[in-house]
Amino acid sequence: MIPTLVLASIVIFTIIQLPPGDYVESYIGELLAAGESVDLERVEYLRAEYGLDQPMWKRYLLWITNFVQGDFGYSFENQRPVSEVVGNRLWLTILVSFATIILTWVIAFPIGIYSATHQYSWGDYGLTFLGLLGLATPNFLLALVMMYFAQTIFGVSIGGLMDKEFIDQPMSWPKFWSVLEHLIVPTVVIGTAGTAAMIRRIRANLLDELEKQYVITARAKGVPPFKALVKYPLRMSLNFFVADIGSLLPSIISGAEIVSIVLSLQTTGPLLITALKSQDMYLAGSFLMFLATLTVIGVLLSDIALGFLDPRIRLQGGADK
Amino acid sequence: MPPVVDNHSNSKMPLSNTDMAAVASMREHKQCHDIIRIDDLHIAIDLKGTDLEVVRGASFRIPAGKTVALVGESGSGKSILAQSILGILPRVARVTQGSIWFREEVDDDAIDLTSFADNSAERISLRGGKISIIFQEPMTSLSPLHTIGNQIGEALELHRDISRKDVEPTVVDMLRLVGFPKPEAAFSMYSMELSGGLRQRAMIAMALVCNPALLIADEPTTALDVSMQAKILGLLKELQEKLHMAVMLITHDLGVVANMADEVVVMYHGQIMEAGPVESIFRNPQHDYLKALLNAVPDLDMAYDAKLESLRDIEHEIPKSMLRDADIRQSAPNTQLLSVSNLSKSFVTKKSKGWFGGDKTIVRAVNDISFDVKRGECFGIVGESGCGKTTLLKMLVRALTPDSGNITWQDQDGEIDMLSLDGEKLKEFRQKIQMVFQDPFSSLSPRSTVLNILKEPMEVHGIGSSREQAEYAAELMRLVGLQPTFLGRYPHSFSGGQRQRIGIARALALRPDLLVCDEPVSALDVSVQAQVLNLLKQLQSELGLTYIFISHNLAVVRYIADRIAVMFKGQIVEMATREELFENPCHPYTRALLEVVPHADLDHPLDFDRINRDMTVEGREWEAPFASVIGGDDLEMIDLNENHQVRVLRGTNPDQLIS
Repeated sequence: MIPTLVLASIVIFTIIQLPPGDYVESYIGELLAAGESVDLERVEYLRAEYGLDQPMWKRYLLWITNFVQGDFGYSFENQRPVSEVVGNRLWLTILVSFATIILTWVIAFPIGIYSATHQYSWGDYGLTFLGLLGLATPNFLLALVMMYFAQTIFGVSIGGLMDKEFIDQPMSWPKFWSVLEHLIVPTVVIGTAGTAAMIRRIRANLLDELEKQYVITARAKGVPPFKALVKYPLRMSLNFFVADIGSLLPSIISGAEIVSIVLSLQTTGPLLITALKSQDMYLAGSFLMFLATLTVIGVLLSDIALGFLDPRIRLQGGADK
Repeated sequence: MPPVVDNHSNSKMPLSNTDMAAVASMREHKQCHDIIRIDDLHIAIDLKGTDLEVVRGASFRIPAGKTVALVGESGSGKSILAQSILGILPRVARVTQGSIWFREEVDDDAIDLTSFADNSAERISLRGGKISIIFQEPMTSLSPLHTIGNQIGEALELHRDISRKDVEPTVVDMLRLVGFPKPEAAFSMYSMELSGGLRQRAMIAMALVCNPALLIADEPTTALDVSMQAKILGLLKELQEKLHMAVMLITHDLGVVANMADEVVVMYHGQIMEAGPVESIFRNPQHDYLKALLNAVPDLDMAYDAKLESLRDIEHEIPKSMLRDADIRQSAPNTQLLSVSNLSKSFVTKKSKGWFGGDKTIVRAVNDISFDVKRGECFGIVGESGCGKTTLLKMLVRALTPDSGNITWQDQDGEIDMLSLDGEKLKEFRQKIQMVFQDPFSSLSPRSTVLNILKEPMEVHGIGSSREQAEYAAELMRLVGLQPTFLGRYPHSFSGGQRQRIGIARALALRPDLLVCDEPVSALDVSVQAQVLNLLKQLQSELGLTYIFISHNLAVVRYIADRIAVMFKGQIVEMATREELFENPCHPYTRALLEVVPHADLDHPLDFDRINRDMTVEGREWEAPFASVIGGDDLEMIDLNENHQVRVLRGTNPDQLIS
């Protein structure tokens, strides 16, 4: 796990450094474009100040040692420490992500189970069609469409994660309510594709399991149909789903950027994109590092969960074939 | 096969439910009522809109407390019939006509099970409560995610009014009854921690924990070794007496039928060909199909030169080019072809304990094995699963490299040390030894036509042009009795027996001298088994081939092999010519094996009392001089006579053993 993270940090840092130039250069470019004159001394000062004149490995070491100690560096563009810039948005991101995951599960599970147990029925065909439709629709398009309808039909602006007057206000009931209200559209939009994919996978996995001998054993034992479904094949098909959690977290956080921009949500997605565009390297680097860490933690969690769920994994671990 | 549905003339079975007089007379005898009466049952499978009838008008009975064997080949509809009794038919299948009458006690009213939906409360309470089933595959029929105790206890909680704390003791009692050595520990174990035999015992415990009136056993021992089979059959018989239940035994093994059944029902293509008490079925078979079936099974009592009569014989044709090879091979009969000496191979397995770490254990899969194979003979190797026979065979075809030992090949071109070959030389040598596999379904690629399958070996070795290869492939098809016009087809359009013949044709494509057969008929139905065995026998004599034939079935090896080696735990314990081995078995393991083979002969029943008493299946210990004293190297093969060797303590006098 640790080696994975070290490798990931090196790759992230290298990739961020790959495009020519640095933040100072793009900053100057911006100033010049705005018609202002640039003082060369100030440029050199800025470079030295931010450590941009050091060789790459030194910068990497500096960045990663600080990162481990909880100092995530300084965002050039926002003129604030990274932790502050990201921190505010991180909670909102996590909120949106979790709402999305839960929505995905709540919708996908019953539909997937229905589709599998009623294979080739009209219900299965209809739901499969809807699911494929959801899978094929680009998220941002759906976001635009929903925004348009919400505006024209209900007369509410659903952009943002809360009404404007609550931004930067302390948490209160009206604010909480406003957040909930605004949460509906983003979760639906972000969740559609994931839900559709998950329905397909639950259906496929469950169909495989339904044919297995131990399911017939359970039926032959006189277990009522619903219990026989939940206790045996469904439990078995959960494996893929738990194994999936690891990749679910980062994909939802990073997959939602474009939608977040369209809906102007104050999550981390848009932040990452602007940071990458303006070569705000500490912000982008630290942010990507968060994602990598989340992924690794997610995979570890799902492995541990699998060990608990499935005695085969627990008891056969490490056996040579 | 004429489709005659003529029931046995002297059958005493009241087959129609109008035959009330017969039923009434039976009520007087408490034991003699029928638990199940099946009346003109039809079952259809829905194949994309069209119905295919898989059971066509079956009628028979299952008397209380008795065993009825349902015999038939795969696809005859016997399993689906069992599923219809339980109400667990697959979604595509349904009962179209007829009825299944169930009556638990003599005085109960019979109820027609087909009048209830499969998931109705009536059927659910019968399943597992009054009627239970055990399946063929002990490896897959238990859930891998739940403990044995949980799965057995579940049946108990569903059907019996039992408090939660009483579940465990009841289940543990049941596990003890089916012969678990440590029932308390087994309660919280998972199925994968148990051997195949123990899993099947757990399955039996689950089926019987509610004390059902009828147990359906669907090929309960087909996936097990012969000694384990005998034990499970013995257990079933013992439990049947203890619990006074009826058993419906589904099997294709007539040996099992002869040992277990009171009444027999023979099915073919969804119809009942013949039904009656076991005595009249075996002593006085009426129907042609049944007679043919009885003649097609190799038996330990048949004459050594007798030929099996397969149900459908095959005509085959030897291509001229192959006859030339045959002449060369037959020019030097009985000379040594292959010599194996002191061959050993070990595997390292990690046994994990807990979450982290684990101990390494070394398994000696093949341990110091030596034997010679003569040109033109069939050398049989017998042993139970896990005895190392497949590992041995993989080393012979150089798919595995032995840890130590030698394999020497001798032919007209001189002597070759097989283990020193590598690269191009090894590739060239591989043409001399080819292999026939056990499973005809997975050993042929489903995405290749038969033509490609037969051409591939020649392509690999660069023999002939594409046209010559295609012509030769057609000759190979005729060689195994298949039409050359089938070359464009894919494997799925062939039956198991035809596939196995394609496998044999592929193995012969490179004109090998030695054919290594790994259980080539164990996955086939009995009727097809005889056909493939006869084909192999004919090819051997006509082409002058040499075989190494591996099987766990003693009767099959006895039919085909000239000399036989018995393997146990990676070692050969006895080796002799066929007659010598079966007439004068010396090693206790060989004797034990011969004792547990069920014969399709009523005068030769298994001694279940003795088999049940002998609980030392896994940790088998022999008496002196067959057991090692110091645990290892003090055993050796000694000659009893020139045709018979046995593994005993070093320095044992052979005369002591012949008594």
